[in-house]
Amino acid sequence: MMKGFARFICIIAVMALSLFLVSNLGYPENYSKGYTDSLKSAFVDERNIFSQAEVDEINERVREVSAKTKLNIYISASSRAFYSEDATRIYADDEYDRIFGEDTDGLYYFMDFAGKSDSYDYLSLSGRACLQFADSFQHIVDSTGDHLPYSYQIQQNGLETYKDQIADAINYFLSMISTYSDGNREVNYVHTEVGKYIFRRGGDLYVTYSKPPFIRMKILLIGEIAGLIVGLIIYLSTKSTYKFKSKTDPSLYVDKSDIHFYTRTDAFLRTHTSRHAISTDSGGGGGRTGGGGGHSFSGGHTGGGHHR
Amino acid sequence: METAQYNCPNCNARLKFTPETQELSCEYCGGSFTIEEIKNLFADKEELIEGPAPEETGPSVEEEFENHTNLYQCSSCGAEIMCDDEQTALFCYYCHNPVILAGKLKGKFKPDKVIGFKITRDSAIAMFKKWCGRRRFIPASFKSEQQLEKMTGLYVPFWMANTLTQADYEAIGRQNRSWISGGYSYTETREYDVVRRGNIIARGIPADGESKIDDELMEAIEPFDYSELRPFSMSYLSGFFADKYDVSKNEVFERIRNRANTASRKAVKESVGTYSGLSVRTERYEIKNTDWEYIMLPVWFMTYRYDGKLYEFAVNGQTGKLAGTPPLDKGKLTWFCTGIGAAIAAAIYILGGLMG
Repeated sequence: MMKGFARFICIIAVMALSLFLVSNLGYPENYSKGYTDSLKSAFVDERNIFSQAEVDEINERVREVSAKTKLNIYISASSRAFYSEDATRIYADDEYDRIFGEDTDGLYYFMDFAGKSDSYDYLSLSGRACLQFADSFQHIVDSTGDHLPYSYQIQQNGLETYKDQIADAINYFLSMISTYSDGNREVNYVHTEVGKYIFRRGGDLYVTYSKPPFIRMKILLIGEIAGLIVGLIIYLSTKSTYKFKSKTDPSLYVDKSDIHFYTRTDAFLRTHTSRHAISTDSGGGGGRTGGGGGHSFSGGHTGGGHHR
Repeated sequence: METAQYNCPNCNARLKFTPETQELSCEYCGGSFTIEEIKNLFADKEELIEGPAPEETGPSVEEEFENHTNLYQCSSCGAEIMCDDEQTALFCYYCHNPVILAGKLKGKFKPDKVIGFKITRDSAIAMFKKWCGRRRFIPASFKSEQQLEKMTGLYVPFWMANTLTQADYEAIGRQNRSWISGGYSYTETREYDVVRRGNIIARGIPADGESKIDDELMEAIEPFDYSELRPFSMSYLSGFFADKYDVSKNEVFERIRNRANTASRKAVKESVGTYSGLSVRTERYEIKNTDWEYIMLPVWFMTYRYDGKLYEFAVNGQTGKLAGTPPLDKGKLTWFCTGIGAAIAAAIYILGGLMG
């Protein structure tokens, strides 16, 4: 009994130790480069919607939010025409990396003013921004997009007509970034399509190519519980086969010729009949299916777009 | 008390009962003799067990040791052999010649019949090894040569009872028939008064009269083929161990009654047959008569002490049916299960690590 208990304690101790080691040792290489300063953060007006003074004013506001949120921010009122969402996404991701560097903390907001119909705006996130805006980026892009003129309106009336509306939309976007950059809104970790994991550990931001330790610990815990259950089932089922079996049935000592019934009757007594109505109700039901859109990821980025 | 030994009429060496031939054979000159021939040749020895049993007197405290520990002199080497109350056949510890304590088989301790060993020791060991082979978590020492040396051929004293049981069974039997008509489901129940009264004879229910051996173990190696029961002769015991009974037929009657009732109940149930439901009003089984015979049955027997517990293993010395409780090496099983569990945990961890 004591030996069995000791073995059980030993197994539990090994399980606990392995969980501890997985969650605390062997940290993967961290590619995070963080945020340096707000000087590279900018607004670029490729369509010359605004005067230089207005651009400077927007730039000042962008750098102000960048300094406050400690995120690189780049907003492009772009004249480039892309004819697929993927092309827009790849361009935004690459442009961010080119301007600020890979695995830095920041975002790139691509506003599509190429003049085609329909327009597709895209927000590319990198580093810490992936964690902070994981739950809100789609809302930010959609609500900012709602402030911008539709592509057919621009085609009909010209871009200059909507200059103030676009300026308002940029201000609105920056205020949303400022609001949602609150650390309390962060998700635990983000897994990008190329296999990068972005997470925090002890206050530091990690960008790695392997799973965060707490996810690995969770997987190991699930594995250990499954192993424990299977092991326990094998133990108990094997133990049950090490029992004494096969009591001999004493009826083998009674031969049929040695059974003599002097009274053997099956006398009919009565009959009664019961009746039940058969229920004809039938059940069933329809259903409905739904669908929805989504967003895609690439590189060390996450992000989402909005059609206008 | 007298001892008996059967010597070869040719070379005077000791004769032993041989299960394969059911004869007594001489290991030295190769001579072989039937039980009948031995009875005729050694009529004087067979007579040793005729007559009344030695008088039993209540043991005093001072005589406790003498009453339960008996000394005999081996007629082959002269050594003194010590044995307990129940042993009736054994071996000399020094010259290993078979010794039959004829004096202990007198009177009420003289068995009526005996079935000779048909399974040899080698066969019993082979059966044991096969039985162990299917169980990978048996302690290694359980299968060791040292342990196999303990396989002992033992004539176990049995009470064999023929019982006449009076059965009285009354029940209401129901037969149901269902059909559907006009949107309704109908169920017709026909009730019958079921009565079974009669006599059921069970022949040859055995119960061992040996307190040291587990009753369930002996029940598990049943049945014995009683067609091979022969009138008792001490010559069957030569070369084996044997005990006399220390549990009387009165004491085993409860076991006999339970088994006879179980057999009778099953016979009655089978005669009742095809009812879909039965409400039993009366069910009584009463043994009206019991005929007893005291017999010796052959059993290969082995015990094993492991982890503070005694494990018993037995092979029917006539049919080869075996039974026992296999000891479990819990440590070995625990580490095996831990290995399986660890492999599963590792597989899930690796697969989980590979997946996104």
